[in-house]
Amino acid sequence: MNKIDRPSYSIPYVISKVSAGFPSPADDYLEKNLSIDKLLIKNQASTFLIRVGGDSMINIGIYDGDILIVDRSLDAKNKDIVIASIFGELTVKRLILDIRGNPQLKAENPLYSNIEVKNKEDLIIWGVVTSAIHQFIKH
Amino acid sequence: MQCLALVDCNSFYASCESIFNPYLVNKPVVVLSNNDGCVVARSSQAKKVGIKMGVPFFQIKELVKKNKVHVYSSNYNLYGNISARVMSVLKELSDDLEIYSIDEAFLVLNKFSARSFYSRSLNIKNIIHKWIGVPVSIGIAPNKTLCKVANFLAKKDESGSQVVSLMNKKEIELALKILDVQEIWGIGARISDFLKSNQIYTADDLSKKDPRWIRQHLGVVGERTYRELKGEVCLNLNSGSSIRNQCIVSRSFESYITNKDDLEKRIVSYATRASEKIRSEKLQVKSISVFIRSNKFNKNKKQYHCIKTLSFINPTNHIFDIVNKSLEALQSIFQEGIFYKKAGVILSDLYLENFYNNDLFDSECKIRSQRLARLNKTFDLINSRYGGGSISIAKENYERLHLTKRTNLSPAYTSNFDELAIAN
Repeated sequence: MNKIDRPSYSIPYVISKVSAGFPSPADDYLEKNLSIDKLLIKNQASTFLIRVGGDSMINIGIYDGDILIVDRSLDAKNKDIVIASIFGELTVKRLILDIRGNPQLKAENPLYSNIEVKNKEDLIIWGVVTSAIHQFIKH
Repeated sequence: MQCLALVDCNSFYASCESIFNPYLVNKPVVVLSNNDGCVVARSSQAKKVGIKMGVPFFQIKELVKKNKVHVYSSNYNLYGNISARVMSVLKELSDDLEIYSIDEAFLVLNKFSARSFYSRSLNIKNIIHKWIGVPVSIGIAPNKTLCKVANFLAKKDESGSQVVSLMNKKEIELALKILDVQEIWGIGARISDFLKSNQIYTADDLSKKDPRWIRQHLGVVGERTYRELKGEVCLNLNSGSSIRNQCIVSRSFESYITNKDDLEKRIVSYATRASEKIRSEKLQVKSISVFIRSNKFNKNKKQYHCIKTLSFINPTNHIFDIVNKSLEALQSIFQEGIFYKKAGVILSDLYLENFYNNDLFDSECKIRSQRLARLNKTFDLINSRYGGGSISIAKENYERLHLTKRTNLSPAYTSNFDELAIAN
């Protein structure tokens, strides 16, 4: 089963212990659990998870090994973080469009130079990155 | 007038592989069946270098090498995930739909939409491609048979929009004139040979025949096809509620099996898996077929294939019933001295649970059935919680079913956090 397809993790935000005798007064206020999926995914059918490889985006807090949430249904705008396919390989970069709409892929790490796109056909915008998940403790 | 659109994913399995590996776009790609036996999908570039559908892999090894064809084992996990995405978007974009197979669906497009059927279909095509990355072709027509015709033509239109509309008489007539009878939906090889021997070469020739002749020679099914070619609506849309009519679990073996005991183990595996499948869909089965066969590509060895069908008095989905009946069927067809290469279990005659009335007088049967239902539930629960095969019938050789040969399997991009596609 795909993890995106069903809410896999949720946190109840009203919790009452079972106590003998007295019903919890909070039970009437119990609301739906918070869903991480709902927070992060707007369009399930077009959303995919991609793993980051390398440190080309560390200046904006995207680290090697992070998981990116990518929505293919969004139209990429200037300055969006995108997954692009360039010469058949997937890369995560910031999309820069000049006044004439010519694209450039910008790394967020001074050690990397920008990728100029000479032929528009070499570049396909695969999807727009909507969030990055960085886990401090891995399960 | 009703308007249907048949949306069919182009080279679906190959397209799924290309989503996460864009390098494969516009390259020759083939996908092999279970155990890497035969070609089950080809990208259009792979078709162009002359790889035919269904050929055994060993026969095309030279072609693959010469044309740098990319070869993949079937990753059904990935294809199923992508298919579910495509279908969910199609459902949103249409007024009703029938999922016809893993990669095609019939859509109802109602008239009240201000946009034309053609532009609406074009929009559907573009959305599926952008959102999911799968190219599709769409055939628009008043009924299913003509949708298939339109889709056939759309598929050929590789440099164009791949959307073909056959909504008026003139368009339909033109299409039928260029369509060989053997390409008509529901006309098999045998019937098309018969038609050609009667000077009926195109769909147009067929549609001009006398209806009495059609009924006499092609039967009710043929008449339905004929009437649909003429624009009538004979086949209704099955939107979701229809139950499947078969469940097949079969495998080609990685090497030959000659021993009866080994064959029994396989059959137990397949029967177990098949029973799990129908239980998960709340179905019960009334007849079971088991088939075994030798390698039809190895003419040096003695050829043998046989299928045996057995029935239950009352439909069941209990694992023991299905396994025992399958072994009984195997018993009756097994022959010594054969090099077996493939075997399978087919469950047919399926009913929804509780649909079929049990024998009124057989209350003992009812009690047994309830007890077994609890056992099955526990069985399925344990396997879903701790992984398939955690608990199995002792006779089964679980690994044999699941560790099939899949040399070129792509990662589980959509179902395993450890196998996500990587972007640098």
